[in-house]
Amino acid sequence: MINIMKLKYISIMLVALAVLAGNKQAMAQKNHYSFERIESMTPWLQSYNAAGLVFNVADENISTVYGYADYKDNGFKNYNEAESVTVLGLGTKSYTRLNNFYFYGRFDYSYTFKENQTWLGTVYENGTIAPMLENVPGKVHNESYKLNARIAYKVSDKSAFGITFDYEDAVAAKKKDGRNSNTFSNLNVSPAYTFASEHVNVGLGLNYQYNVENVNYQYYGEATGLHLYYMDGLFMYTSSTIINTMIKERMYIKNTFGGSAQAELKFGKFSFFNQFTALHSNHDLYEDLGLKKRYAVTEEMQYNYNGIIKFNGQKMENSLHLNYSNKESLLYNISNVYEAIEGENNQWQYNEYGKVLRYVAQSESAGAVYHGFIKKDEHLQNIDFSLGFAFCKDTKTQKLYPSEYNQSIYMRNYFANVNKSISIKDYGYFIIGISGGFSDGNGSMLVEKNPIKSGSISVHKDLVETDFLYKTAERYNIGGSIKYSHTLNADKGMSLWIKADYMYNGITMPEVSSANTEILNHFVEDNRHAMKISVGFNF
Amino acid sequence: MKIKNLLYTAIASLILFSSCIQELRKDDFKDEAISGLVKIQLKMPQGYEQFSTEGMKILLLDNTSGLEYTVIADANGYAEARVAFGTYSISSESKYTENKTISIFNGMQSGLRLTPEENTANVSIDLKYSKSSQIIIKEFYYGGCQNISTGKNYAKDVYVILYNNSEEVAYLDSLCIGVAYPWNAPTTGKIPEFTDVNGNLMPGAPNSGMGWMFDGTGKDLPLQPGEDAVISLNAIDHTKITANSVNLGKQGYFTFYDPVLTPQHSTPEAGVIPLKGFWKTGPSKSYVISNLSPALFIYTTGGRDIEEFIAQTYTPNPKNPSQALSACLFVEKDNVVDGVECFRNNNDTKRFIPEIDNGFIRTPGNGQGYSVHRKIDEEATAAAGGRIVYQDTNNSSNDFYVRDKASLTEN
Repeated sequence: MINIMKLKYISIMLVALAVLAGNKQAMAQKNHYSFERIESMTPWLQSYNAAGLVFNVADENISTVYGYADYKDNGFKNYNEAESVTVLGLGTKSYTRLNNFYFYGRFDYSYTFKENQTWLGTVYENGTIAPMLENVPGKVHNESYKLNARIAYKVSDKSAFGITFDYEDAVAAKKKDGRNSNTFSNLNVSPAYTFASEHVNVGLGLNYQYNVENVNYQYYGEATGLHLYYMDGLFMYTSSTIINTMIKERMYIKNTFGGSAQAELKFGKFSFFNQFTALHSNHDLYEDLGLKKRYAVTEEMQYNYNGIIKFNGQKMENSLHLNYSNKESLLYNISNVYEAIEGENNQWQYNEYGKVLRYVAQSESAGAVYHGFIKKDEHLQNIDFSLGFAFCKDTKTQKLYPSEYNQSIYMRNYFANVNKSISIKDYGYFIIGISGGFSDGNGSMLVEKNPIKSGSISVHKDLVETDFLYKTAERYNIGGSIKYSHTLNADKGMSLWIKADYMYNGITMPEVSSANTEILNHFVEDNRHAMKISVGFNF
Repeated sequence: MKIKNLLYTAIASLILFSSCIQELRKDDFKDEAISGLVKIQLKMPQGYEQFSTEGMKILLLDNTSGLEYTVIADANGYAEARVAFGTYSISSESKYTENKTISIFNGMQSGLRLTPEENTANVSIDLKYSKSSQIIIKEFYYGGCQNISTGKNYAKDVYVILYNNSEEVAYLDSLCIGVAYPWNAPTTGKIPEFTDVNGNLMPGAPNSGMGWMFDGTGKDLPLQPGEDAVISLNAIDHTKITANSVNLGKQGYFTFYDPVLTPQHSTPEAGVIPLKGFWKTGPSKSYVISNLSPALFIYTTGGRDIEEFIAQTYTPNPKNPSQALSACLFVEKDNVVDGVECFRNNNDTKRFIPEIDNGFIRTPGNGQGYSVHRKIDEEATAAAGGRIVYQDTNNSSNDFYVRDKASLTEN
């Protein structure tokens, strides 16, 4: 007679063994986890929709702590790039699930040293299209803290809600007159919702961003002949002489509202992920930290489309990534009049009397990347490779009656890379990669219509030319990377990794008159180098 | 099929939405939306209607951006200008020579505002009559230079050159020289303090800080036709301190020096003639001339003795009447011989009325050795048989240019 209790115990043992076997297999695969691969397997993880965390196909939670050192030596550079940039950073990142709650978190701290930085009045390049700048090369130190957090709650098998919080705080300080001190902070909040069915997953998200940057220029030395430049749009500028009693301030405040929609079609091994995003921004620019005079406002509208068509075979995953982006920026100059306040004794204030459109820019880009992933397992490639291209078109128009300036630039970029993994028994594995690319461009640098022969606001032709030459020059790059991941504890999925990257960039030097030192200072050598070393611990 | 439809919809949406906001705002970029119209009427002063306004250039200068527009008046004195929005100074001048008398007509209106909300304006300018001066300001070096050894700004070598621009002997006796208040030109749309209730400049020039006069009994200090008179703050050889400066310690030069009023000035070299300091306000131990944006002028006392002149012209600051430092000797416009207004920025506000200086001159910056120097009137020089005659339309925007190096550094 069969003992029912014994059968029960045997069944439970068998189930437990199966689970353990599955867990062990899952843990064994966790030793091969990388964030890049996890995010590639589930496009929702890199979308604007936090609720998409519930679609994460990785079986195990994964976290990492890392540190890195990055060095760039820019033999050729654009007008607002530094001669060399060193970045030291620390960070941590994690995808975690707890019952019906899904979490993503990332914290990144970095400290940056820049040498001979010029023409940068904001923490990040292109922080505003009407900045205050100066042109004396000097050291700049940057420090930033970035926090990204997403939480999703799976209400049911079909519905999930999520929310994103991003916060960044950054400072920058130049160490030479005219020295600017910048503080920047950015907050992003994005609630979202997803709905899942057998063949279609859809999502909707709203987005609000607020960022503010304070700028303060001071001058301590005795040197004379230095200037501050007030620039907008297509490098149109006025300037004033710097003196040692001068303090010049700016505050830039940006509000962005937008939304995103996602739709993913799934039929067996085939999937097609789509995301549409629309963002509208207003960027108010003030001449002082007390918000007494708003001198300009920028309106921006940005649309993005990202699509991923994927066929996930047993031995190979093929994916085609499509993207399109369109961004329009309009700069309005505010008509301010400094008037006495009625009823007050000797009190004055700036009053606004309308705004004038001064500059319009549009940037469109489109690209496609084919990616092949030949599997060793779901998370580790035997070989993976990418082949892609991107086209970009920038058009700009600046008007100050009766003058008009136009510029158009077309850029093309072609790139490819391949990575190969080599396993070292159960100890770990190497991933060796090589990459290369080519880019060039053409366009119309500056079409000018200016009947006024004297006294008009100037266009800084040297900066226009430097920017145009940099973007349209023929450039190529070739590089490689090597990563070693060492398994520390296979059962717990813990591994230690180290990675080194190197990229060589070359350029066909543009023709520049030897008398134009402003431009020549940005094309000193025909090559630049970038190298990075990073270490991390995954668990 | 569903996928195809979705893709076509996506592509159509992208095409529809690209350039969406540019289309919505395209009217904002039309000429009519980014500019305003100014209608200008020039009027000759009473008694001078026989002089024609036809062909007179009218200059519109945006005080904030530095934009300049020029239009030409017709025989009725009328002109229209379409200009970018901003706050404008509108000025015009003309010069007529008759029987060796040079008559200058100029006029200005400042603070004309054109904004998107107020995009048309009507302006009437009453031209003022003045005569070209016998003694003029030829050069003004005020910004200093760089001390080669220290790399710092060296600003003790300030000087002025006066010049006899006529064919007859002039006399410096009792001629006064000063700088207008405020010492630096007002910026960011602020207006000077010596204005009437409507914000217009009072008819004269406010001499600030100290009063200086060429000391003589009447014909002690002749200035021959084509001759210079150099006046400095510190009458020493500054080239011994930095080689790119000037020697102001030469015999026959003049200096702003009084051992009691200006003890911080360098003791003049032998042979340099001190001016007479006849008035002072405030506790300063040196005479202040701005290195950035001074307004220099020369004037007479109008035949009055010093005590009477001070008593009749002493004027407290209308905005700060209790502050003695900002009081001035307000010189009547008919007693102003010549003036030059120097700006630091194009959007500075004028301190001189049009009859004294209808424009301004600006150097790229201080501490670099720049000076402002009067242009030669080629036609008048040729007519004078080679004696240099300088241009004088009472408008430093036309009459002066910027020198990279002060003229005395070449000596």
